[in-house]
Amino acid sequence: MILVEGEHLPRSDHASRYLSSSRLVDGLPRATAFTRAEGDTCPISVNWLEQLKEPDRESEIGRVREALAPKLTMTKRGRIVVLNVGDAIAAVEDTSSCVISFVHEPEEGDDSHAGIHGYPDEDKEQELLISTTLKRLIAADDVYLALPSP
Amino acid sequence: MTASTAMERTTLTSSTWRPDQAVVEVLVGEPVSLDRLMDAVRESQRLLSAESVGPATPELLAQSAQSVFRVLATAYPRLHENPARAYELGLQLGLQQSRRSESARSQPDPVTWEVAEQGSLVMTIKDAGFDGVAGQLLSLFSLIGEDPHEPDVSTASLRNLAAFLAEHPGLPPPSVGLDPNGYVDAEWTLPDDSLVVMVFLPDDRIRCVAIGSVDASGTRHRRDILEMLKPLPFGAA
Repeated sequence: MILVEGEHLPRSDHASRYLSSSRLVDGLPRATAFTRAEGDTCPISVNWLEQLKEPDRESEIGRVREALAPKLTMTKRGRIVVLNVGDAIAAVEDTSSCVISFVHEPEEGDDSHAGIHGYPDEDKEQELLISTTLKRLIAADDVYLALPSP
Repeated sequence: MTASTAMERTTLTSSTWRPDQAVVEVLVGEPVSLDRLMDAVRESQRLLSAESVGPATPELLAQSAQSVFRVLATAYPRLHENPARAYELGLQLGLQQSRRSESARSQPDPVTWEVAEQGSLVMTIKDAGFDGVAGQLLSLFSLIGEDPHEPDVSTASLRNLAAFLAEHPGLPPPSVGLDPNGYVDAEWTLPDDSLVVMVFLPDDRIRCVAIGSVDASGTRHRRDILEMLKPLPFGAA
């Protein structure tokens, strides 16, 4: 299947997000890991892994690291975490009054860039609820080093 | 040498902020090599960016004091074991700052004194019996120093957390971190696998979410927040 910019990611696919060390606890995302700063109305930035057409997850994460390196200062304590799109949408529908969606939004040098839409701009409690819900979906197997071991 | 004697020997050059080796040794609680200390100072200057290190403006001195504090907390992990020492160091940085001129003594720089207050709040949290939380916060201060994109800790939010924990010393110890605003957040995983999350806002309110056996969310004043969580075993603590 070929998707064009702006299309929704298939529910069977996966999205990754870089988290800095202060947004992690024991190597897993904190409950606020998927929240935004006050006044920030942009979608949560993620990368669409299947769009990269790599043979396995490690290779996909490697490509994500390359794409993020010019945009972010990733540290050795940071992590890249992976979410299943369908699970995330369903869980948020279950726990909150919001409906989120994952939309492909390629950027220069970062073709797999996507955004999580559907966050309410004026309701920080719902935003925290969404973030907490997403955090609970991520297990240790879904977490990768932001900077690979030498 | 006592810390107070050491403080009397504090020096401050006119062009850069330079901590006194003996003072830092007393506060860190271990020998400090001058090379390592100056590495920390250079690292702090790097964080400030080379071009900003020039005449010792009050703003530059305050920024330097804050970043040296963070770099030292990374270089000397024993500071993490003893929030009191970290607090003294924060005060020391404030003292150095306040010595640069008579006018500054009567008008301490807010940024530097904020660092000292953060150290004081960590001590309050430790005194309330939450030693682990105090340690996590000091680690957090160090992590922020490593990553220029991390938000600064909101002192008002930290004050809110310290007051909340001091008012509820029987609560299980939370895991603490920062949200994108620099507000302190706290998480508790309960025995029934419920998750309670609180974000400590700078105005004495707490934004709270619970997911699990009981779902709840709301933003309330600190004194009212546990009422919302009453159905959970957490609320009875």
